[in-house]
Amino acid sequence: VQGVWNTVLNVNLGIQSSETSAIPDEVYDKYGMGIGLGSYLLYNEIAKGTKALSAENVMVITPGLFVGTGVPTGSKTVILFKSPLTGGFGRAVVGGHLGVALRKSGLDAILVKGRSEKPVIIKIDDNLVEFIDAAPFMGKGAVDVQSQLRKVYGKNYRTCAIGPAGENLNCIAGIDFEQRQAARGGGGAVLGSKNVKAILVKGTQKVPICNPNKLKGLIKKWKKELKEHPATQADLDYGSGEWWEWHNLERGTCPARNFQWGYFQSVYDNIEGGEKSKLDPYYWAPKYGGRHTACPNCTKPCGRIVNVKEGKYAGTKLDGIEYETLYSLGSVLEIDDIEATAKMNEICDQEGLDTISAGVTIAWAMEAYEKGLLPEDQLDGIKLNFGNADAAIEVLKLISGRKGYLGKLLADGVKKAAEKIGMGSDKFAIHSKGLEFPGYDVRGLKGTALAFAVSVRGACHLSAAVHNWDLAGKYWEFKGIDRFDSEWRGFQVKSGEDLTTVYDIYGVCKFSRYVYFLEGFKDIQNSITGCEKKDSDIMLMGERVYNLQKMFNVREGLDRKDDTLPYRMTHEKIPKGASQGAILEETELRHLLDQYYMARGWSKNGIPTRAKLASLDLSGVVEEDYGANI
Amino acid sequence: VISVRVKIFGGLRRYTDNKRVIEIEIKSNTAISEIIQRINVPDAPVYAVEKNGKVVNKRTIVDKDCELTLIPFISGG
Repeated sequence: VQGVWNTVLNVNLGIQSSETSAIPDEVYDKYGMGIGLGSYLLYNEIAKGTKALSAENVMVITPGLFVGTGVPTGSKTVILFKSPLTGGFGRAVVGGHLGVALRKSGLDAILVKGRSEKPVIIKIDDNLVEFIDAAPFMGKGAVDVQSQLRKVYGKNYRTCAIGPAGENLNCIAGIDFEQRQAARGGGGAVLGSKNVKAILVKGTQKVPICNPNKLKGLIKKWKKELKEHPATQADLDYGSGEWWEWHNLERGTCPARNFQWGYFQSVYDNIEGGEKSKLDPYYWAPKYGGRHTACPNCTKPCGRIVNVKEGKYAGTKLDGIEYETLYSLGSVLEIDDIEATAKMNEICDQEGLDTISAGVTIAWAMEAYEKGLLPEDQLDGIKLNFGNADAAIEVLKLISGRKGYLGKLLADGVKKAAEKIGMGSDKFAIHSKGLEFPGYDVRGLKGTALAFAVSVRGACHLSAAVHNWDLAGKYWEFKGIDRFDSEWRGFQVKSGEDLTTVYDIYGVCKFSRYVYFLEGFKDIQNSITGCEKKDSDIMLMGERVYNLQKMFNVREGLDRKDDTLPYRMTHEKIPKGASQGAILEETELRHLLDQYYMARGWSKNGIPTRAKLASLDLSGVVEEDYGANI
Repeated sequence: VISVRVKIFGGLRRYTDNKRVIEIEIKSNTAISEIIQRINVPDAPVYAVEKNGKVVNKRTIVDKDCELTLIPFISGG
């Protein structure tokens, strides 16, 4: 296999040493790069029952195959670890520049192992590793510290870092990669627990390409396809929240007020004559949007600098604001103030918090407060009502620092917070497996509901990425999807999961999922690696890698009982709007799970059968005992 | 002749002078793709179309008064 280095770097923090190890061709052929190689390494490196915040946890950082080769939107790097939020397979996928530097450093992955006694920065020059005292940089913002480090050590270093939230082992902390976030699942806490503040990588080599001329032609072709695709212009102008109004009004599945509403009722019921929600990019992008920011080799940059120049949040400046954040730091808190959302987004980026988890956790706290479940005398005077942006901003800072009653209560996400206070508050804690929900009310999107319930990393819209299939009624080879119907969803979700795994093997941005399909991947991977693969080989590789991730969870004891949805989804109807009356009752969820396990070839208890593992050539990889009989 | 109410969302409004709703009268038995053309919206940026709340093929023939919704590409996430 060409296009890879057959080498990974093991960084041993305990003794501050490093060594490379060789990875044979068979591994790349079977699993690919990115999430494939990473899942293989994580499964083999972590023992059953390892505590997520212990020295024994391992973080794997591995770019996709197309990263560093010039392939358009091929810029994604995968971060894997055992998640402190879910106790299962932790996965975050991120754009940015570090992955490119890593690809050019002669390494296919970094494995961060052990725990440093004192805070350190890991500096990697090709495969030479240096440990730098991080003491002067502790407590600094995740974005700021990377700018400082690149000033000190040179712009050729590409970086990632945690903020104070990660240092404080906050389970909803992520890792910032030069203003792109590997946010989900608590990776920031894992790095924090290892006493690593930042990682710097400089790569000076050229990624080995099997057939450079063929690749050059393909890059030209796909750049043109991406540039001219009709989905590109809207993304460029208005970012990932371009469809805000349509999602609210025509689908009624844009969560608001901690999922009490399926659209932003208090805004849309009260505006007239073409007025817009202040969260709608058609309102704010022309007013605040500055220059576009792109990941390497992106020909459709969705990032944009947002600059608030006046008012009480003047001085707020960030790269954003993504759809998910419009929801999690906007509608789900019942806040229709883009300047406040921008401020909260900026705080999350600097403190190193996942905007989705932070927002959904605060939304739960707002509901608990309004229901009188929080002790008023311990709230430092904060009136945590829905819609109170200043209170939400205050609470974000408390969460990051684990300060006060609210900071300590909310720092580890909504599941743990609800467990701490009890009183039935778990009924409105919106998560699956401990990971807070992305911005889709799945009661009106049945395929997405199944995807959220079964995703190996907890509630995740990008494990299967079927939300757009449900919303528009079609995608890829699937047509005529009725979003309220729960039949034939097992195969839909399985197919989506296998396909998105392929995206993460190659490191391609899922925002190009209307453009690239298997035929694009097939030719490009062939020109890089020299290996012939058919569409079916590629999809089988996706399926194999997804099953390996699943087996990580099976080994940890997760099964059907963990593939579930919040009480609100299964017991309360969406009250109003385009999804009025929608609910996903427990009998329907059981039916969806049965369909999915059958489509996957898993047992009724949600465990891959030995027959399925054998058909995926995983029998010798996963321990025999964990497979199921039918 | 039948009446068709077309709702336009997101980036598709750039083709309709920012109009959110266009009502037109057309001959019965007209394909949806032709109606989209009549209101000057290009075909490519229309990802999907709904007729009275159900996603349908753009080749679908319209023979009664109805409401169409033009669905843009969905980003999200």
